Amino acid sequence: MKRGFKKALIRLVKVSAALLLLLVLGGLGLGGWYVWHLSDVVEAKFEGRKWEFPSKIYADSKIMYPGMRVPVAQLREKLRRLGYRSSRHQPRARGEYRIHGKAAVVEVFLHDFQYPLRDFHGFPVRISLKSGVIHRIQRLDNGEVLPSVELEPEVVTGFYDRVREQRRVVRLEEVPARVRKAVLAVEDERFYYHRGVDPVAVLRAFVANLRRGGVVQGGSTLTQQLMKNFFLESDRTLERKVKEALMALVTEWMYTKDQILENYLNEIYLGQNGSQGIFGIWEAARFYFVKEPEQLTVGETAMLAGLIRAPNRYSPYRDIKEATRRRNVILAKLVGDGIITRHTYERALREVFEKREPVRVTNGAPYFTDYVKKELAAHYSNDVLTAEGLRIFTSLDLELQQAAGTAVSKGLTRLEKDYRHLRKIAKTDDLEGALVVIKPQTGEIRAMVGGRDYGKSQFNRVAQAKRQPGSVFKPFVYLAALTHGSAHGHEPYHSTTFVEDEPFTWSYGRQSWAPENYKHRYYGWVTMREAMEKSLNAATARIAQDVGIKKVREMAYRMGIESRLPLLPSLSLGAVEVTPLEMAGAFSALANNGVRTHLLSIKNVVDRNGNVLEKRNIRVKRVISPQVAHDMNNMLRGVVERGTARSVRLQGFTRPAAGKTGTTNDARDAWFAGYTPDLLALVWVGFDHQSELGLPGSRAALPIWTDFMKKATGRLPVTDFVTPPGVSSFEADPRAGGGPRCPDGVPQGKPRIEGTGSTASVEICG
Amino acid sequence: MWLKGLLRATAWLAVASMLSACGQHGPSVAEVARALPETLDVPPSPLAPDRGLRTRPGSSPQRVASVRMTERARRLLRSGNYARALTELEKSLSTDGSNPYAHYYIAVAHHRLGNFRASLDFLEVAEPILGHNLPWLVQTLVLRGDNLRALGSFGLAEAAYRRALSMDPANPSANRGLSWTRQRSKAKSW
Repeated sequence: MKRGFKKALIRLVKVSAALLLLLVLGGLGLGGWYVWHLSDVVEAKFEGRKWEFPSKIYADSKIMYPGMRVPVAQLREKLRRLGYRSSRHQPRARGEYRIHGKAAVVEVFLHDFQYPLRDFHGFPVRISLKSGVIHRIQRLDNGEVLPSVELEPEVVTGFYDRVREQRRVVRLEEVPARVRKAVLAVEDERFYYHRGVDPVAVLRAFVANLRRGGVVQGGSTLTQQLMKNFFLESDRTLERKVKEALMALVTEWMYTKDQILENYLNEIYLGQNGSQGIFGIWEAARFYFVKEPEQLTVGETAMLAGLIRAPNRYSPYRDIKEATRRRNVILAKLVGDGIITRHTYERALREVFEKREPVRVTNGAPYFTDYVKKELAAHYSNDVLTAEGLRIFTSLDLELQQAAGTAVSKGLTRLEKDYRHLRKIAKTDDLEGALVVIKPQTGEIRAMVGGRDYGKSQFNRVAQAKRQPGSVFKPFVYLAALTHGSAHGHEPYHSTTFVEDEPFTWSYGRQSWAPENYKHRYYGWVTMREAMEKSLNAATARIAQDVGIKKVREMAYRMGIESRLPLLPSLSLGAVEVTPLEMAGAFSALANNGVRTHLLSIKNVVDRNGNVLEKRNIRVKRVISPQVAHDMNNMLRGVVERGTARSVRLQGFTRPAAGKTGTTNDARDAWFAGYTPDLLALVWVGFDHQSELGLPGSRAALPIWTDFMKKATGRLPVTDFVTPPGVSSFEADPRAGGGPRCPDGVPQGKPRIEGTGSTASVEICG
Repeated sequence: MWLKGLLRATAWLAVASMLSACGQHGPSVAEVARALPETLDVPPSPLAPDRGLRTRPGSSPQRVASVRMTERARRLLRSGNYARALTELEKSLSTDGSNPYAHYYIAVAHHRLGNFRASLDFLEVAEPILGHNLPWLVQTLVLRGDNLRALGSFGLAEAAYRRALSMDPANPSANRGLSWTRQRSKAKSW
């Protein structure tokens, strides 16, 4: 009996031991598997893509030179947007500026900037002004007088997906030792002495918390913090703490201390700029002090290190006193730990931080950035744009953009105020406008306003709306005539050629078409110039008939129209649908003396490491001869001086300019395309759902154009249209009895024979 | 016997010429680049270091600034940094759209980068503006010839060189370009 009990007991012990062993082994196996799993998770994070970097769209840089008008208020605002700090003394560090001497001297210590293909290192520069015009630009460090100075481009917007994080990743070597030491002193002073979990720190925190009767101190190492940020929630549960500790141990086992520190310095959350989080040391240095980490002073370094614990509470943007108090605590810690000397400590304590507002990036050109995004979409996926941190440099001029937006918004409001019928229609249809600005010689799109209010409608009327151009199309008819001449063997056309402006019927196939003039007023025999200036439909249609509608269409295509154009007589009066952007592109070839430029919005695409992925060059192509372009420009100048666009002058725009108004027959669309030698702007006004506008281009679109151009060109010295060498001016002087006057030495010629077969009773030159 | 030998030699020569002509259908970019320095560096080359680009007294401020930028870009061209030079030249053109030097040097930069068609397009803009200045016109014509030669349009290239030589008969770049074009043209016709 006794033996049996003993045997049973032994068996029980054996079974229990086996079970225990099995349990232990199972536990070890499970633990091992879990650690293995954690190591996989950590490895995947460390070796894979840790962060998403939104790509950024930049406006164009601003080049300033002697002779340029620069309103000081505008320059100050520009510097503020670029993150420059006002200083009482002469700028000593990058990002500082001073305006003094009754706003006649602006001193700026330029930022460093990584342009495509070029790293720019900032230097101090003095810009002297006389009556608001730049008089002299001089480097302050070596006294060199400069012909121009370039302010770096502004960020217009970023490409965000779900995460709105601002971060620039830096290598550990790029973070100065004192910044690293300050962060470690504050967050984990025994970082180089533990293996991921620091029992000493845990014990110290335990004691401190016990004494205070609550959680006042944490014992997490920097590695544990990194694990929490990378993988875990911030809930204070035991399970999370254990997991965090395990992951920290695994990470320390797999990676070096420097690798962990580098990741930490790039990962930490350091504040908020609107809806965007500021992450990492580089981005924080940039956000709070507009500096790179290596340029930070000791005081700034301490302030940055102090932010880690509670970024929004200690933010200098929120409360400068609280931020300074926190800085002083950190400085005391640094001097206590022997990281800085007492002398440095005392000097750092004297650093004064002035209250500033953070630079908020607000997209001032939403239609333009949408347009750029569409252009980019052909080559880059959304994933790439939202995560790869590309930098996209564009042609946008933010000052022109702002002026364009204001001109459209004010102009449309004014129209609604002045014309009661527009207010009535506006209840059921939206009165809208579009404005696009192009630099004719380069094709750069400098501004784009695709509608009145982007918040209300994102439809870009510049690039997407297909509308009838009406008379804005007429220059293509005249260009075809000047280039090809008559298809019926008549003499070549030029601006003083007479054409008949009387009602007529154009028969084609089995159909016929009878063009009518505005208010049924006809002028009889007029020069081509007069026909253009008065925008006469009948005369223009006659020219188109004589030249051939095919030639007219071919000319429109050649100038840059891409929409399909039907071969119908009404094409000559713009009874087709085109986008304002196409039209502006075509007009820019005129402004550029017959040279068509490829429209350019994106100039460079650069990756996160500064490699140029794509450079889009200026592309030019001569499409009409300099002589024809010159004749055409002269005619279009006449439109502004004496013709349908003469209110440009009445409204106070005095610079040399050329342009053409456009109104469709049904008065649903109003246009004005006009240019100076340096800048072209095109305005369209109409209702989204094609309600009748009832106003000509000269009343609806032209005032917006004039308003914009007055602001846009005000900063530039006046330039006139230049006659290319070898090109003769065939000027008609309307003051000399209303008829054309031949230049000296040019004989009187025979009259042109027109469509009706009748012979004009006047003579022409040549 | 000797007739057989002669025939064989002639046949070999013909084959060799054909092969050589096939291989030389337009010079390579590298060949053109090697051949180009004289086009740009022989005085009175616009790229010569001692020749500054001039602006007339009374020129507009943007012209003055733009021409100085062109000068800076010209230094980059001289140092072989063609892509950066092109970027700077485009900025110069953006500052003053009617700066003729910017157009010309953009054509030079494109040529150096092997974009011969783009170079020709810019020359077409530069020529009418520089037309009143003989040395510059000669330079544009020589560069036009170089581009056309690089594109294998030997006839047009020859015409451009001839026009340049009609204005400046001693122009070494035009002479060299012309003789090279003739050689290529002959080789092609073989």
